[in-house]
Amino acid sequence: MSVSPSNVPGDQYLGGLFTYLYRTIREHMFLTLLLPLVAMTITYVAALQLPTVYTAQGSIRIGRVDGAEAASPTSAVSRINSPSFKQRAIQATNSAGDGDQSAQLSNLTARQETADTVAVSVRAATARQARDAIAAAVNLLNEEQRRTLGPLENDIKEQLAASDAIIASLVQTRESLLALAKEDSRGASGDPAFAALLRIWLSDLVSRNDRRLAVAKAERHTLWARLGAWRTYPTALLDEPYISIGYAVARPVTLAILAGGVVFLVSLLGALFRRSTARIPI
Amino acid sequence: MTASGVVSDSLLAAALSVTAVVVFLAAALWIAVKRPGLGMIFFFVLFAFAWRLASVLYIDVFGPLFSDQLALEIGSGVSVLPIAMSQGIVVIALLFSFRRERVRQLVGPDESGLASRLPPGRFSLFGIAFLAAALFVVALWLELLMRGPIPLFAGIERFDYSRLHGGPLHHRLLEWGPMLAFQLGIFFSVPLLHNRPSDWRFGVLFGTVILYLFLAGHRFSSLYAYTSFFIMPLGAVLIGRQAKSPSLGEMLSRRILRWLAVAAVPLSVLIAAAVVYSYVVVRGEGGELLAKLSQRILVQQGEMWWMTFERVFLRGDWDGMLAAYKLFVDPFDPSRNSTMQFLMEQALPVVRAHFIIAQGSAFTGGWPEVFFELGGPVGGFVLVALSAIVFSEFMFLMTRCIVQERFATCFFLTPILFALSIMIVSGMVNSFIEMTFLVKVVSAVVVYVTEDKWRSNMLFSRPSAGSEDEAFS
Repeated sequence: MSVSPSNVPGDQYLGGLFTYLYRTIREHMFLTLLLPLVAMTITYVAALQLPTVYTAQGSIRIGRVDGAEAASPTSAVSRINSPSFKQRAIQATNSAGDGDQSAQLSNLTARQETADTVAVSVRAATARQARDAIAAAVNLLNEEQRRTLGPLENDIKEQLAASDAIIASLVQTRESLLALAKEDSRGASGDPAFAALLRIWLSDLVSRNDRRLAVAKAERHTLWARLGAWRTYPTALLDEPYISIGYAVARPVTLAILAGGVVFLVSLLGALFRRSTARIPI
Repeated sequence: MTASGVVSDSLLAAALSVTAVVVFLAAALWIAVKRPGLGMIFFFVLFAFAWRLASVLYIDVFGPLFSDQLALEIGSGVSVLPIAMSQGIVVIALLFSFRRERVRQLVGPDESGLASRLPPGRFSLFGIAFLAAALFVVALWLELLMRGPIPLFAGIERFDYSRLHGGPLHHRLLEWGPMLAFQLGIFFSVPLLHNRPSDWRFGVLFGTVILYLFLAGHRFSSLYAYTSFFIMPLGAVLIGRQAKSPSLGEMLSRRILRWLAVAAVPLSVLIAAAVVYSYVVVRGEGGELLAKLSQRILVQQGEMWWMTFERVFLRGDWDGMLAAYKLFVDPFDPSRNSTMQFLMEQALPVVRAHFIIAQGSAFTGGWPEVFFELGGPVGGFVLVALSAIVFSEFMFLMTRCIVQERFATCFFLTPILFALSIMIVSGMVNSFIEMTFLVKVVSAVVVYVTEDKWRSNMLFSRPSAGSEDEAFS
């Protein structure tokens, strides 16, 4: 009669497996322990020779003109993550650099941070390249913003210039009218009836000019407000990029442990195959 | 072309499509009826295949129809033919791997179980396994009850619950749950190999996990995946039992099918209730329930395949290098299935695709789309065949380990089983290039060889099988 499978003795089963494994390791000490230790040491030393990588992280506020954004943060994220944008960012970083070394950028990535900001990070061979790459990304976004919303901004500026010209003209007219009134008050005409009519006429002209000037100033204020810093601003970094130093692949210790682990498992496999047993499959 | 020509072409296409689907479904049904063990092992895959095939056929025959997710019209055509052929390749591969003469060799001449060969010990392996699993499940329930709202009663989406309230054990369950279900299934079903009643303690634990998922707002996909992984070992045991004794295997098969039929009723009710509750109460889409369900059941399963079919087969527009780059080098979110991310980027405006992925959602499908995106209309079939062979051979290895009660090996093979199953259902391939996957594979091979050698050694050093059997009887 067979024993119920539910009564498989756990200590005998697991203990048996571990004992077998332990004996294999003990019999092949060089293969299973020394070889992984050597592999770990070599990997650690080799990993120390790997170049360090600088990661720059920054928050970008997407620009607006008269309250309208050229691209929503979601589309800005997609734009930055696109291969063409990354290519242009590398070119821009190269042209911004000292020319001795071409930029080696990797992992230029963006994600939405808040409703109107995007977090960008990039890895590069030097801290300067990493910083330049973020600046290049901001400049590229600004360029795209200028292409999209530039005409609107120019239109507002033209209206503002026209408004300034009108105001200047109205101010000049007012001064001329005031000068005429002053001349009349000195009794230049000699006829009291004509002088009274002239005063009334000049007063009417001055008051109409003042009304037009007030309206023009109000219009200018509205136009100026549309270009004010709270409604119109370029895409810009909120703060200086934060630079951190890291390793290109992983920390040397992590790489050494991984290499040691893999070599240990492979060596153990070799040791298990080398251990001579009569194989009777059950 | 004349109008009658167009009509006859459409009829021919529809007839071809329907025939392909009928042939595949007949093969799947044959497996379920004639080889129920195989049906249980591959239930996860076969069910997904049949559903996708039905959906693609619906798009082919009733298209053009509007897809809510893609926001465009898809169909009609003969897109079901290549996918049916791909699925057929998998079925052929698994029937070849599980051919009867090979299955018979799973069981050696000595039928006594592992328990009979080992000297008596202080505690049972099943006892330790139950204790460990029970501790986890109890802690999981305590975490759910103590952390705040219960999603089912509070009307919270499962994604929101995981993000806002889910504790560490809840997250571990979502990551490892199907693998836990598989382990519970092994301990539940192995006693049946030796004509003993199954260990119901593990069945109860599995039921508790399913109930937890129901309360945590999970609907069809989780319950289906967990159940599929739980019944896989049951299928392996059935195959082993039939290899030992066909007549006893037949009896066991009928008994297991009766149990499954009984268990399927409450599970189906649970799933139906979860789906309806989710649409009507949680999402408030009760008025559009039928439209939503029709999209979910008939369109969403096949729409991504339709997009790949149109791109690769109709327009010849595929770029294997770009696909490989987006799958393995620069996916939007490398921590998740990159296949569906790439397919969504191809099918939708990139901004929208990234928005959906960033929310934690993804569309359905991925296999065999990924292989046709990588290899094109011809190379795709070669990749499909390779994936089918790897999967079916691995499943045979897993079945062998269950039948031969190699518990340690089964434990270490489980993550690989999960990765391969997910690959064959949703096309996830980026997990295979992870360093951790390499470590899992090498660890599993080491444990397999250790167990194999140890068992050989144990049998070799035994004085005689008969005397040991007597000693332990």
